[in-house]
Amino acid sequence: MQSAENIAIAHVPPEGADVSQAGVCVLSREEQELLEGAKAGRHRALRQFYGTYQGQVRAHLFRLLGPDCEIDDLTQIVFARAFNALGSFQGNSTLSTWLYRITANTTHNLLRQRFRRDRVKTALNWFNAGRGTAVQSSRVEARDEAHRLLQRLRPDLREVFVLYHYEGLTLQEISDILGKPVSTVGDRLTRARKKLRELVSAS
Amino acid sequence: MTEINPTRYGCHECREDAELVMSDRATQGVRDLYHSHLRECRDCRKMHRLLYALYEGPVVPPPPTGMAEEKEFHAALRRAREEQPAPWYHKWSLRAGVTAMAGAAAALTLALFNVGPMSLGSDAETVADNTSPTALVEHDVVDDTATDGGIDHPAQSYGRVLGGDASVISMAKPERAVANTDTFGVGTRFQVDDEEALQVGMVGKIVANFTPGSDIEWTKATPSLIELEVHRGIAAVRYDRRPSDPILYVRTPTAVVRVIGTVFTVEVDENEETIVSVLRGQVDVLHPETNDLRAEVESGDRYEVATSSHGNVGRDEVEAALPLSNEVDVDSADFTDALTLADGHIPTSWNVPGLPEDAIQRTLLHVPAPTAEPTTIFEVPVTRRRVGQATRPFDDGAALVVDDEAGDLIDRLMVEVKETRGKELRAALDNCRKLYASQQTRFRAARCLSSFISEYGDEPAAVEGYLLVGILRMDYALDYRAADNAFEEFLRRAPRNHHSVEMAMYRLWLSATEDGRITEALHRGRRYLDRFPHGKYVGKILQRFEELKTDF
Repeated sequence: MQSAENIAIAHVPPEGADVSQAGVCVLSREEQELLEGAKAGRHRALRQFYGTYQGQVRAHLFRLLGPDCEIDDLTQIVFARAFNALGSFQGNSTLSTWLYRITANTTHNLLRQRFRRDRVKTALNWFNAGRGTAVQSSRVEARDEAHRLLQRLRPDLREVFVLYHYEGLTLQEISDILGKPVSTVGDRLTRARKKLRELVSAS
Repeated sequence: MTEINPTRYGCHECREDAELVMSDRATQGVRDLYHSHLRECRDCRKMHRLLYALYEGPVVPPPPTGMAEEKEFHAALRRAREEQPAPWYHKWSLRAGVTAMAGAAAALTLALFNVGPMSLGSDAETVADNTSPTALVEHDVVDDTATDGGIDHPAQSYGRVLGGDASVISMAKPERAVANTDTFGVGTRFQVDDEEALQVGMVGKIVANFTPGSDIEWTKATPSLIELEVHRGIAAVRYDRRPSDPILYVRTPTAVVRVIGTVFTVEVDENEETIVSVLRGQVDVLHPETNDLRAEVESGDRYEVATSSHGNVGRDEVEAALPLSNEVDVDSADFTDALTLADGHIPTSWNVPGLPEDAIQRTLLHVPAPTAEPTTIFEVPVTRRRVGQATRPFDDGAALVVDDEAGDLIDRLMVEVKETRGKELRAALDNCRKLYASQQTRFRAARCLSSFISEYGDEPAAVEGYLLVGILRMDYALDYRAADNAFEEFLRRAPRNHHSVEMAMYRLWLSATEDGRITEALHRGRRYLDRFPHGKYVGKILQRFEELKTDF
């Protein structure tokens, strides 16, 4: 997790990674070995793959969705899809970025559905929370409130905000993950920040 | 940043600058103004706190570990198989159904449906049988066995007898009795002597104690699964599993015990009923045929499968597992101090309900009797092995010959010490020898010898003590790092022509092999073969490493 004091971070390729002249970061030797084993369906390699990345996937899901009973299920779905798609992975990105892409694809529709479903409810809660602020402000944790604010952000903006600020990815990496131009990603990030600032001020 | 007039720095400016300050992109002047405003403005302080929490992000709970992690991995594997695209014949059979073809066409479709999976091989079989955890694991195993043929390397798929007595038979190759060696492979069945327990190590990761009269078979060792079958008696097992290590299944006639990593006992009593007790960690008890989860048994629990009843771990189970106690001081860099609690006391990491916390009182004497109905008083089976009796299949089995290296060593050490030092040294060593003499107390000799080494380690006559400590650390604690240190210390101190140099070099090779450091094992194996081409351990090294045969 990236601290708020250090929001803008410079991304360094993983140690041992081969960076081509085109600037594309390909797999490190360890990742290649792991990938070959996993593609061959070796239990040990699949287990190691899961052990290495389950923390990343689970944490990303948590940051996107907050405390949610479906996180366990979604983690399994992400890895199940990853296991099935290993054969088609070309190694043009790191395994980590590839998994972010699968996670984003897995959660995208869910986030949109929930956002639509909860919009009215959230607005109502927000209204009620606003009325009770004087009584509750001392009790409500800033973190919980921050989480609620984040949930009010549109899914496409939230995805970018979480990937950039919490996962520490660059705009280029986010662009690769979401399949959108860097300019679109940058625009979404700016809009996400602005919207959050508005929400914070309104609170 | 341009210079800002402090008198004009209000809430609006503060909120505009908040993000810059938090991302450490604001100048010192702006930061000062910002914080100065925060001190005066309650609303902006709240805004700052909230925005800070937003940029900092939520505190992510730790991911699942141990059993939960393993379950999630297997659930993902299962789901992956379920989500695999349906083969073409499924679609075809559906279309055939939709077009409502006549009976002949339906029969043909059904035939295709049934024949398809067989012709498509293992993938389709796995899809059809994906509800069984065993099937899942076995599917993975097939791939690995074909490519790797062992845990990591075939050299690791062996076990060794650490002590005790048993009649054995090789189930994998019944026509061939087990050779005169302490090393055994998968498919070995042990009928343990009625008087003495048997202690074995398997694949360099598992230490087990089979109580007298037990009948236990080692049925599988693959990169993802190790399997034991308890036909009768008690198997106490210690498995300090690392994440990439295989899962252990212990099968009994009425249950399957799935182990992620723990200290536990599995008992099959005279009625073929299964009792599972856990001292550390947790195990799952599954149905032997469907693999459905029957119970999760946690540390301190004793679970009887027949009645599905939970009770407290009892004295019998603790006694069976006690030779496996290995609580070590992991921070100790000095191997002589590494073993701290394998002194006959029950380790503090073991959960034995009713046992005092005070380390001194953590002995078998203070273990309360089981709270559950004591239905499992195990009697020595009537099918005893007797001299001259040749009617039972087990009598075809050969006895494993344990190279009692440490036993010889300790006797030699006694003689040498006797010649050079007085009563004090002799008494210290005699105490260790007594502990070593019995299988039930042998694990305690390591601690005793460690003390001996600390006290008298500089004496030339005590040099073999290092070797002994290394052997015990390796066999009972699976602490290969400490064992390597001890063997190397011995080789450094002992004269080049010392009679135990060969054993030390062999043990160094064995340590690397069982620890899975294959390159190092090959190197050490070559070094041994170069120095002792006619040595007594040549056969054992070549048995595990085909690749050394050509060199040799």
